[in-house]
Amino acid sequence: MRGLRFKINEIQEDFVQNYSGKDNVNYGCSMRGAWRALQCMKNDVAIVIHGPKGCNNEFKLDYEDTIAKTYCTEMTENDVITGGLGKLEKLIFDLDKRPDISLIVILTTCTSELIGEDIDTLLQNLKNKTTKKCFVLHTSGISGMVQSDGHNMVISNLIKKYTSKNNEKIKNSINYIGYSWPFDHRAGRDMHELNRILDELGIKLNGVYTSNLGFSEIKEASRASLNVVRCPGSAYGTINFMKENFNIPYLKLPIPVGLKNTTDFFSKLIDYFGLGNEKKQILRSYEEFVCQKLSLYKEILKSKKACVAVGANRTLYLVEALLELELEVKVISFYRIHETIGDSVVKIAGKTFENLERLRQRYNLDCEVLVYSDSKQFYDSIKKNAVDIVFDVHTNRKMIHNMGIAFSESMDVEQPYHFYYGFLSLAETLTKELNQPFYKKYKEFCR
Amino acid sequence: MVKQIAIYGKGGIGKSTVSSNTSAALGFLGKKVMQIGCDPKKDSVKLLLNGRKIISILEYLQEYGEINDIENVVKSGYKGVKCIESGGPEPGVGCAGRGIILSIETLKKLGAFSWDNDYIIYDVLGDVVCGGFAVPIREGYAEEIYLVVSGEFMSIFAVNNICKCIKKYAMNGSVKLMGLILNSRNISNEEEIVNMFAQKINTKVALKIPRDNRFCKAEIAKKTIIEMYENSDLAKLFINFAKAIGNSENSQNLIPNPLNDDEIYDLYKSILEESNERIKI
Repeated sequence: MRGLRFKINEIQEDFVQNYSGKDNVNYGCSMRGAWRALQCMKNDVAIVIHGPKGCNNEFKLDYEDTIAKTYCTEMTENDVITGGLGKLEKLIFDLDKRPDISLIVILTTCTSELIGEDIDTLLQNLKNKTTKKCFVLHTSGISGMVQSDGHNMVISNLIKKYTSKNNEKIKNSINYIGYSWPFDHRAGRDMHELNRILDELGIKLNGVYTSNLGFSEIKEASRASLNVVRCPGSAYGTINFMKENFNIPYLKLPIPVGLKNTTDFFSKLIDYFGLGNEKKQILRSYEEFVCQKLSLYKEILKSKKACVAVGANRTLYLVEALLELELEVKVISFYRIHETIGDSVVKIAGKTFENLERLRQRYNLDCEVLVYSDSKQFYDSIKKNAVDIVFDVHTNRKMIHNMGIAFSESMDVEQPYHFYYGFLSLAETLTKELNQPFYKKYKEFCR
Repeated sequence: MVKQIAIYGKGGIGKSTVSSNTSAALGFLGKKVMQIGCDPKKDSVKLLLNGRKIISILEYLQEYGEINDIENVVKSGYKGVKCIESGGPEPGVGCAGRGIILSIETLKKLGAFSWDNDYIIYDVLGDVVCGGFAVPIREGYAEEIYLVVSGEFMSIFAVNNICKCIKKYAMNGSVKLMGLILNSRNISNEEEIVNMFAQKINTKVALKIPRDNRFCKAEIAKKTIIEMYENSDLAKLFINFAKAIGNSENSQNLIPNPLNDDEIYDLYKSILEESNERIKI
């Protein structure tokens, strides 16, 4: 069952049942997920894709500026027939000689798994012949069709293999787990903001898993006194392991987008560490400052109709942020209703619908909800609701623009939009996009 | 018009010996023959070449990237039989099935199937373990199939499995199962077992090869029976078989009816019980 379209006040019990279970998991490619988690780490980590050129090429197209540390064995048909371990071995030896590389992670692909390439034995045999740390993740799409599984495999393997157990804890410190964005995109500025505010609050950011994570920092992961979960799907394998083995508890905090969510995010940390009202006053100062600045943007954004189309985990927080900017959210489109797998699926699906109901009640929300919609349902809904701006992944930008509708990227954006100043930046981006003279005219033409 | 024949059977049952002797017999009758070994072991045509080495298609591709001239991978053997080996990976690595697909595609690209041949014989690896090994049947290459079998249980079991694959293609008339070739192992009631099995699966025994030390001697001398014992009864056996292959156009298209696993056990058990053999379970 695919392509639900309903009014937010028509959520039915059976939706949860129909959209629960493994058939509706966030499908994708585990190798892609693992690659994303690894490619945003520091450059001392080399990623080796053991597969044909095509498996690597997609990343070259998508992330031109972050491919420097991705290598591929570029298996040919002959390698499929006679095995490609020779090529892999040569590549490992070449990377092993590089002084700038500390860790080599091999990702398998459908091709290498289908022919049963025995990489584990190869690595065992190379153990005494190479100096760099090296391990393989069996991430082929055929055996694991869940992208967040790839993120999860990377983070949990890094921690399990290389984090030292006997580290002394740092008081009031956190690991931020499940945030894997290229540092030269938005993540650099988001992480700078996180670090800066945490610093003001007297909390130390011990590590982010995996944005800008270096190999040496992995060893220190057990020094944090709390794990903060950013993405449950990417973090679930790790947080439980760290709780059991390093005695580090975890907190799932809101995604810090918008004033309310950002303040919630930091307030919960202040409460957890018992840092007191004095620190909360810092948050209030930020809120006041941002509120003043926002008034200008709100005049322009007020009552503009928006569509939010991203993963379920992020959507609900983004909706709240847009409502704070006084936009009218008319369409919410989920293309991923589950952010994790296994036993958690039902719970997460139920949670998504619960959150929708909570939003409806809190903000008196009147909008359409699409779940796994096809493109026709999506565009029909946008047109019917006379949407002014779509908040979606960058791949849909051209299609939305061709409808004469303003567009803002929800994921790979260049501008920061997390935390207080990020929220101002988001408001400015939306204002600029909505006021582009060309699209204003084009919209009239399209209609 | 070229007639294309595939020979399948359990590993070690004597497919290459049967294929080489059949090719040699056809060559002896003045026919133009090409034999393609579709087995990573690449030992199909050694008797036709008197042990001369041949570079396989996959070896050549690995070494040079592409094959510009088909003569690089074809060698002329006994009575001008054109000998080709597909080759394949070392045991335990890579994908041999994909190797067969690539080899056949390469031969097609190089025009090998448009040569002036009367017969093309495909000698295919033991069992149809994946799609690659079914290529000689499914891509419209071989139209006639023979299955080499002995009276041993596992041999019959393997042939029955191959019939499951053949059935699919025989149903739409693209291939014919021409019969079983009994390569005798001298076990008790062997002929009876194979005859009964053939009847059960709706085929016939097309050739019976006796157990004979001359096969072993010819093997060691790296020759076919036709070459080494030209006027022998064994040579005549293959020559008659070659003549029969030549007259197979009007034969009935029998669609195999493979047995399920229980039926094979029951069949075997009943035959042995009938002949007063005791089965210890």
